[in-house]
Amino acid sequence: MKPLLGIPAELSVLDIMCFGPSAKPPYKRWKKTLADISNWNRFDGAHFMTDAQIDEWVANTRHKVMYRDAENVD
Amino acid sequence: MAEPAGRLAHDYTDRSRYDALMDVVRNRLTTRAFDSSYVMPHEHYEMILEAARHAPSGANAQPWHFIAVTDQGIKDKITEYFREEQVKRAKLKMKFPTPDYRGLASAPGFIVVASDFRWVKAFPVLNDGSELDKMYRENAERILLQSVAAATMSAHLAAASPGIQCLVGDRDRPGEGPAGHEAPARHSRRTLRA
Repeated sequence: MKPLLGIPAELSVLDIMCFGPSAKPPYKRWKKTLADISNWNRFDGAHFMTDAQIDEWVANTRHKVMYRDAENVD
Repeated sequence: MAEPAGRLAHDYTDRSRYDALMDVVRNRLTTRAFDSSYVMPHEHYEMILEAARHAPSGANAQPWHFIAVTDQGIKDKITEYFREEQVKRAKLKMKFPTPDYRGLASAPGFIVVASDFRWVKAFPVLNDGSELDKMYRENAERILLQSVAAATMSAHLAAASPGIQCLVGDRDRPGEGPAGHEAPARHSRRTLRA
């Protein structure tokens, strides 16, 4: 891609940003709750995920939060 | 003692500007299929790039470049890079639910974001090859990536402000991936995601 755009070798392409009106109604991605991401004065240990929990999220939740409307994520 | 003039002149309890911002933030959505009949006004590109220009960056280095692509032939070639990557991933069986990138070619707006990792020199590094220097360099790369992420997010919000949607591009392709992120592995650490 860099030769195509004349980008010098020293540079790295980090992102492609595409934008415009959607061809069909887009869905709203699921977002963590405010409580899920908030910590006050000290990290809330309840927010820490173990390796097993992350593996479980990748296996069973990732595809839902990527491709479903927020209302349809369990 | 009198309050500073600036403080008196500004109502810090006024939520109207926050509410206007949050209206854009909440309604920014990701799409991968665009209305290709829409012709993106040149002014929209400039509005988006102007927003990116004002982003914060480490050492105020502003280590970003934005390439607005309006030529359909170039868009098609870039889309083909993504499609090839899609096929490659499928063969690798990495189980990642790779999105369908073919809609890229239909995007009326198209901006490629590039950075120059040599700018890590602008951040705190020792430049003596020591283990400590390696740690500082890793931190410097995170500063650079975070800076570009801030600019990209500003651009996304500006793009979303007139009700237009964005596709969030991948930033983490290793090796010779379609995003052209040919930086060595030490650059592949992910520190950002929209």
